[in-house]
Amino acid sequence: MTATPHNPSDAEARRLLDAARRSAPGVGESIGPYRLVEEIGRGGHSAVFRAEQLAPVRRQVAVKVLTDPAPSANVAIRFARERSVVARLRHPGIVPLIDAGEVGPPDAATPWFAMPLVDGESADRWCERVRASRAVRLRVIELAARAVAAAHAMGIVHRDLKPGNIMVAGSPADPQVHVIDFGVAKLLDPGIEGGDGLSTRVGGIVGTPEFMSPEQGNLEVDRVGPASDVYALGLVACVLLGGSIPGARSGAERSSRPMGERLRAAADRESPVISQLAADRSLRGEIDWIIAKACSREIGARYANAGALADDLARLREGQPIVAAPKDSGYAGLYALRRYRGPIAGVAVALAAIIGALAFIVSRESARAESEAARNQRLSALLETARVQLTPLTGKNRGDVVDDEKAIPLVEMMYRINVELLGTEANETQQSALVLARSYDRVDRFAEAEPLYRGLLDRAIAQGRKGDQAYLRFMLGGSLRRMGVTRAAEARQILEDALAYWQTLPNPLPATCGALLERAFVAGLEDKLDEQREFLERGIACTEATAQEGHIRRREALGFMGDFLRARGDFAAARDYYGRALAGFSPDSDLLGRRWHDSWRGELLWMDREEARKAGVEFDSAREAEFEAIVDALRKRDPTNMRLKHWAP
Amino acid sequence: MLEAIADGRSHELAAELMRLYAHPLEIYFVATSFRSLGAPSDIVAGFFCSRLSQPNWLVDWKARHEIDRIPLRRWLLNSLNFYLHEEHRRQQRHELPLEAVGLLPVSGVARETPERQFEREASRSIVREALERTRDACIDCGQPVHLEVFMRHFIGQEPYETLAPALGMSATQCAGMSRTVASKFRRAIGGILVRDGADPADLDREIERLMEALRE
Repeated sequence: MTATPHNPSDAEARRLLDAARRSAPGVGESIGPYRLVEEIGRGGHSAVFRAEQLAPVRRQVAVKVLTDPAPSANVAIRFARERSVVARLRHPGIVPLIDAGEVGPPDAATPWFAMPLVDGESADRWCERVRASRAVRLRVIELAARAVAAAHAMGIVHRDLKPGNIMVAGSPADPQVHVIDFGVAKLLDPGIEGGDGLSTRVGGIVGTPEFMSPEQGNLEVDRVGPASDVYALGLVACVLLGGSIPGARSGAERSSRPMGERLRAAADRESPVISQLAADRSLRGEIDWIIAKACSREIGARYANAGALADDLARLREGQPIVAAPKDSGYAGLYALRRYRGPIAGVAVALAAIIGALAFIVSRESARAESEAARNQRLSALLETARVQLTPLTGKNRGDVVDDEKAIPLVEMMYRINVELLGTEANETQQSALVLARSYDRVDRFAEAEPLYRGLLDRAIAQGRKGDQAYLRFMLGGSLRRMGVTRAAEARQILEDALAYWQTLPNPLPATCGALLERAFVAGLEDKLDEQREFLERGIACTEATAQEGHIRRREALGFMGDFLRARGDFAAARDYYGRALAGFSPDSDLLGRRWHDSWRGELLWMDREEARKAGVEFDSAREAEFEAIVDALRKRDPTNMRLKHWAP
Repeated sequence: MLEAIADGRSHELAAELMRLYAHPLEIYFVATSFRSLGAPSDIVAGFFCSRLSQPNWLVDWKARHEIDRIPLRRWLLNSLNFYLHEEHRRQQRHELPLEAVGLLPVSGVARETPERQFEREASRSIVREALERTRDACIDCGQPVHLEVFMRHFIGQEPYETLAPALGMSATQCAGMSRTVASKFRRAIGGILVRDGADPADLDREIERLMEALRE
């Protein structure tokens, strides 16, 4: 039937023409003062066009037209209501109504309305295209929540929030966010034109099941309110931060699923844990909590409205404590610790209180008092709080490893909690054992680090994980080397084993360079100076192959060679290496960088001063002052610093 | 229209005009007192040759259209009238037998004027052409079933409720598919009418004119 051309009779042709007449205007046609240029979106009953207005002003607008030629009462009412809702809303994040009307013959009039054209794309596509950072993605969600909050303040619930209804334009530095499509909005105030009576009458399934709250999925129309939008915004956050909708299938699979099944999935959806969904530990803590609160299955446990969600996101952005944190997580205390860590002298007191709370929960008394599930839940929350709050106490790029003696009990407690919750064999537990061992190392508690390293190494050997074996040997060798000359031989053998494995690889790894430098230090302990020089040179070559110019690892290797040469009295060569280590290095870098900078600069000044002394000439007073300042700074940071000894007059 | 000429697509344009309006013009010709001038298809073909070979003929229509919005099909009809007069005079000059060139009275029993017959046939032709374009568009974008639903509903007058079970769909789905095709059909009709000189803002009234022309 479809392949053969049809020659319609006059009556048939009239019916066809009537269908065309009742069909809504399309591209090329004009509606009021707007010429439809391009269809930019189409739903079941309406379409949105990019249109040109030629007079009285020339501009581009978006015109939404009801395309259903025989709309049901529900459809017609919803279209009229959307027009009315948009006309009421005034917020920079909501596209305003600029014109409205009807087109076509009176018996088949097509309603339409016009809005300014938003030159943007859906939130997920925009984030993908501009490779938005996590902070920018959170900002987009916050701005969308602000716009939705304006609607909530007017008694309007959007009911169909999803990335496609959040349009974003502009740059990552200044994202322009607009919430669109109030086509299925619910009006809470019965006094508003098309208010709640109408909503009830319209009823039915509204929204997109994959972004529906449980109450929407259950079609509990009366329970749908601002918190339903909050839930949807939480799911949007899952998409923007984690790349997928909790429990949802791919687009094609989704659309082929029966509506009933999709609604059931929405009704039964568990509160998402974004860090697990995205398999990204860095989302744990505050972001997990915010999304969990937004997407709580219980309406009362969610943020009351989108404004409250936006406020919490703003707090997160500004570094303020968020309200979504679980009450028993010790978050408030730890937050205070994080914020005031520098100025507060009594950090240890704050830590002790938190560690005390953790210790109690891990204790047997607590085990007796609580059910296992409840206890585990509390432990998990505490563990996460501890991990999040430890972040500012850890060194840059060192994961959870801390370099502050005061934080060690917290890391120990995290390890104990993991043992308690997951057992000694779990990967998480092993990971926290490594963090604890490295933290011990950082605060010179080598004897406590050693058994942990050895335990981890034994496991890696048993499981045949060669890469991990080499890395753990490097760690253990370094730790033993720092114990002094008595463990030097052991350290040498362990480091040689690690290097032997890495030499079988086509390219060196950053850890290989570290092991070469450690090996040089061991040679120094053993007084094998030629060997030490050889390993330092190999270490420098290795860092040049694995790290970019100016990287701290390269600078450190050069600085070590400077130290070696300076100790041998070869000041000219030492100056060259110190100079290369310092080239382009800002003294305003992080703590570690500043320490190295002061050390190498101090060595340069010290050598100059020594040479001046030997030559019997006066040392420049300005440089003397600079040297003294460096000595003071190093002493304050670490009075046991070895350099202070040889710098002493 | 003028863009088509400027782009060197005047052959394509001429073919379209002939495809759409040759038959309506033949119907018109047969209904006039000039019908003895020759075979309808020869006369109309001669007319198109004569007019479409004049480079400014369509440009003139466009200029005129700017003033009085005369549709192209009316311009064609007027031009055909001029052509028939010219042809009549030419045949007289060549002293053809009087009975062969004499004007025949318009049949007294004819129920419709030649213009009305032309309009009816032109409307049919426009609908046919639009239907062809819609069919091509549906097949191009993989919507043959949509087209089938549309045709069975609007031509076969089958209600969606009856159609739906046979196609394994719901009535709502059928209605949605049919709407999609109706939009395409509207676009196709609109394309033809706008090329014919209709104002895009006045498309609904133009469609109603076509419907009116098709009434008994």
